[in-house]
Amino acid sequence: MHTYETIFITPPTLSEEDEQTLVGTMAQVVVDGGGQFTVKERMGRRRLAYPIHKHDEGVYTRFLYDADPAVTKELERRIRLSDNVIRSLTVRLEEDWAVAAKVEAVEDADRRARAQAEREAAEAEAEAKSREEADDREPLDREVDEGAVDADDRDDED
Amino acid sequence: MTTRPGHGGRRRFLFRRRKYCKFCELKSNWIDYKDLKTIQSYIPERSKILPRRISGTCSKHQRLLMRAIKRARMIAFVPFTSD
Repeated sequence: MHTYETIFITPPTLSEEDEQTLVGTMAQVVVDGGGQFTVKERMGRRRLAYPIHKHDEGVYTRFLYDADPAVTKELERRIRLSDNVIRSLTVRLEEDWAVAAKVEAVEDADRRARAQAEREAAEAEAEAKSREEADDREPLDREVDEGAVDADDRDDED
Repeated sequence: MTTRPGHGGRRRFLFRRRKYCKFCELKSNWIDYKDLKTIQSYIPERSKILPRRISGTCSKHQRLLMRAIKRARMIAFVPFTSD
């Protein structure tokens, strides 16, 4: 068992549904091979440093997993066969890098969960404010705006 | 480095700051190819890899850096060339 990281790029023209199916099948390859996922992350759409197959942008997906070498071989084969992956890279992480990457993954998940909770809290607050506003429209209009700015600030801090 | 008036060529040379390996300072055993902030400071305009004689990176970390940059190129994080 080693820790591997596979990043692959799908074209931005791919529909969200197709993308999810594709990522799902690729993830299944790892699971079927007895691999253990740490991260299954959609890194999002970003600009490519150079065009690939006439695409200037790509959607990055990142897998971080523990598996046997045979699994990466199979995964890479599947990726090569797929028409909807324009580029991929599999890297084996050395021991201490792997440990650090996993720690980072856990922290990332924490941070994201907290940001999500905060966003929900801010939303609930904004909703409460807008309900107040409905009660007493005139004087509260400005306060609602300020509330929105506050929520933005909090997001930045994170 | 700034040249102050009154200090000649040889003098200026003496004041040059000593180069050191920034990765050794952090005691890092790997360089992440996804860490664009770090990597990009070793890729000047023409997208070539900054040589050791300029950056002062030690040989171990220069090798790791080279590998990281080449990996980053493969998945289009950084360009192979730019003209």
